Amino acid sequence: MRKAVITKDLVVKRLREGYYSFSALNVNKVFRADLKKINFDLSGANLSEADLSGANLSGANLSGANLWEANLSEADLSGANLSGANLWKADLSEANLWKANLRNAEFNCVFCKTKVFKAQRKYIMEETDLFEVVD
Amino acid sequence: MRKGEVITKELVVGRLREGFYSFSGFRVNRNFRVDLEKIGFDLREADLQKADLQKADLQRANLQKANLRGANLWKADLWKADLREADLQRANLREANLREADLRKANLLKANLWKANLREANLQKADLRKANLLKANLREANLQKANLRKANLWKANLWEADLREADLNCVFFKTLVSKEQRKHIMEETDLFVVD
Repeated sequence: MRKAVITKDLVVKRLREGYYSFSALNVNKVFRADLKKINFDLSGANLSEADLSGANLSGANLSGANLWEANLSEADLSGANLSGANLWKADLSEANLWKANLRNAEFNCVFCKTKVFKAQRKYIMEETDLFEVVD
Repeated sequence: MRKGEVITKELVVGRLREGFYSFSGFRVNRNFRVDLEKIGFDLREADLQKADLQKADLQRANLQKANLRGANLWKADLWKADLREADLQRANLREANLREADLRKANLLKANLWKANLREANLQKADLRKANLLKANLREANLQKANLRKANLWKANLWEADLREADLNCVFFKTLVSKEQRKHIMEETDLFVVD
């Protein structure tokens, strides 16, 4: 399925079959828009290098998901559960993380105009491994 | 002079006298490396694309506007080298010594600077997009107005580096910073839009 475009039907089929790997795939626009409605449980799914730019993932369960180098720019992740997710080198430019659960997520990713609330920014800057502060 | 041929001092002197500055894809012989500083070659605008310059002694070399695209500068000594506006796109600068080098407006797009020593280097307005700066030493470096978009700063040392107006939308992980720098990154860059 490498490099194929993920369609809603393909994902439904694969999820029913118990496959959670969508690594390096392009997510088709219609599917991106529909993700919220489908309300998939993507916990533990392999979405590494997937193009999820602009996807509506608000409220989605992505706990423990592998989002390594995924393109999440402009994605709506508000209220999503990202606890324990691997966001290594993922692109979160202009993504909406408002009220998302970020506990224990790996935040070695690209932030740019990423929408968060104050406590989340504090958490990302101070409680994760982004910086080692010396004085 | 064929591709893959070793550049010797005599060959280079001859070519430079003739006004040729292209050494693209050629290897540099060991004696030439050692003698470079003494000879005082002016390699401004020289074409050294894909040249094999690993472990080359290029201290204080004048490489202003040189084409070093894809060059192999692994462990090269570029201490105080003048690399202003040099094209170092995709160059391998792994473990290179660039301490106090002048890299103003240099193009380092996708360059590999893994463990490179950039202490006190001047990187003002340099293009470091998608550069690999893993474990690089950028202590006291000048990064004013540098573009670090999507650069990898894993375990890099940014202590006392000047980050004013730099595009810092890059990958941080265990990046060494001071309290003030973290505050600057947190509040004065556009990493986050806070509600």
